[in-house]
Amino acid sequence: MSDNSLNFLSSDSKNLLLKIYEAIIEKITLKMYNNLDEEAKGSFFKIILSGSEEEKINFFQKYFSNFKPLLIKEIEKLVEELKASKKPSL
Amino acid sequence: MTYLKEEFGYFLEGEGKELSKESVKEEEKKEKTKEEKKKEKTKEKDPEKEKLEKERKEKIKQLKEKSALIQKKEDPKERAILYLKLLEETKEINNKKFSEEILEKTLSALKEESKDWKKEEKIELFSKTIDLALKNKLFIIDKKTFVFEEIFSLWRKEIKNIDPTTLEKTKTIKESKELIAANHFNQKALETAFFLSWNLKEPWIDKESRKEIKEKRKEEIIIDFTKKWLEENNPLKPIKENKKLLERIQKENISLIFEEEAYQNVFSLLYLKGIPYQNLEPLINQTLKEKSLKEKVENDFFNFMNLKKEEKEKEAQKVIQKFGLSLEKFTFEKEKKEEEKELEKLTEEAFVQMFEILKKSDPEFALKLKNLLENPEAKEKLQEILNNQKKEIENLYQSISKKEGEEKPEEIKKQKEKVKESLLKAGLSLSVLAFLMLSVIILLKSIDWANNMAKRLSQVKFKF
Repeated sequence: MSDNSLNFLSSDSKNLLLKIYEAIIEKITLKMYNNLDEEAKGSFFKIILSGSEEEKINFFQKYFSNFKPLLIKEIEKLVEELKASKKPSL
Repeated sequence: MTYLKEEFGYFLEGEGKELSKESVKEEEKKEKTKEEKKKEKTKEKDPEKEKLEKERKEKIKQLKEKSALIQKKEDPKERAILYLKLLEETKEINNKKFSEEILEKTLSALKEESKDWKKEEKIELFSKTIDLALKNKLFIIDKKTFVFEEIFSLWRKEIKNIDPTTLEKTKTIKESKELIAANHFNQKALETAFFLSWNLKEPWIDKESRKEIKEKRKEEIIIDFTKKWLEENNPLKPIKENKKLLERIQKENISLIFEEEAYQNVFSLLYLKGIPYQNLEPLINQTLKEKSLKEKVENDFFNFMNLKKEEKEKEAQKVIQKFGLSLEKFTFEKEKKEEEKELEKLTEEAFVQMFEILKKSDPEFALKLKNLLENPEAKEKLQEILNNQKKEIENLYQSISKKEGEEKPEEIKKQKEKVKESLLKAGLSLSVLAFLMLSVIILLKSIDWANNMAKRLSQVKFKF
């Protein structure tokens, strides 16, 4: 799947986009982690490392429900920044 | 005239104590008492050893008398030259404390001004002193900070004659050397200063760029990297577990070095490959518990110190030979593990999922994105965005530090690695971000969020 979908991009561009994507996710994760209460912080890694699938899903639904809108917001921001870098055809 | 303080710094004449004959005698007396006590403990001594010890004591006495005589010389240049000679002589008596004392006196004399003392002569004497001190390992002493600081304060005065902005423009060491030569600057002096700087805990000159270092970032990066490298490239594991390699080693009659010596060689190799001592020191302290082994490692470093680049490479090859491994195994370019490749693949898959959704929101998305990315300005912009993201991530780690203590971000980073490992082991894969990235996929795939997500994204209308 991945091979076909991104093949139209040069490997440089693809790598750069993937790095940005990873960075955005790490940033959102850290932001959200930073805002968790003490109890949730304590469970965070414990559940990720040894919790069941159900526990993991429950945990993320409870504490990371904002993850998706934040991710979208960051992508929108990225698009806006990119648009600003190339004026004519955007 | 100034005299050396016992600890760090100087005091003026009259403020401190001068090394008088009485104090020399007193010290000798103390030493004698110690010697006598020792003698009582070991009544039966080897006559040959006794003879040598007697000679050594006699030599120490002579040198101390010489030192007292030199102290009386008023001309600092004369005093510096004589002390330096004396410092050379102290090699024979194997008395580090005394050598250290003479080193301080030499440096003290060098610090003084004198009318007919040319700058070049002074620098030359300095270089010799430092060279001698390094050869005699006089920097592994309590006062090393003091010694370095004193030298640097003097070197700084010299170095300031070079316009740092011009020096910064030189791209290679060769270029900077040419520039120094063109400015008639004492090459030896500058090289010595650079050399010393790299051996400080907080070097003030970067080895590659020769710019002053103001933060410890580089050091931290190297330490982290080296730790990881050692963990992943433990020389014992691959050899012990690799039967084919063992057979080959046996067949080719290559001697193997295991256990502690292997680490000794690893550190030698790291040093020879360009990691400075001050960056390896914390790692050595953590890894090697035995004092004697630490000393062996440090001895190796001292032996390598004055080697040229090509000579260092030759030495590195010798060390590698001892392991019976190829050079590639020891390059710093870490090969990607299968798991990491897998992880990258999955990251890409997550990205592609997002991309596919974006394509649905705009059928020409791919083409527009391609056009956009072909624009060099956009590439620059993407790089800039990435750098900004990294800065923001670093700030977030710092903010966590402030809230939860300095150790917390490190803990998170460690946990991230564990998460990665755990997920990879479980066959789930997905990095770091790990679970959160996974969560996006899980949510997209299995909890009926996929539709909602697609709907939400289709409303976003990314227009290129």
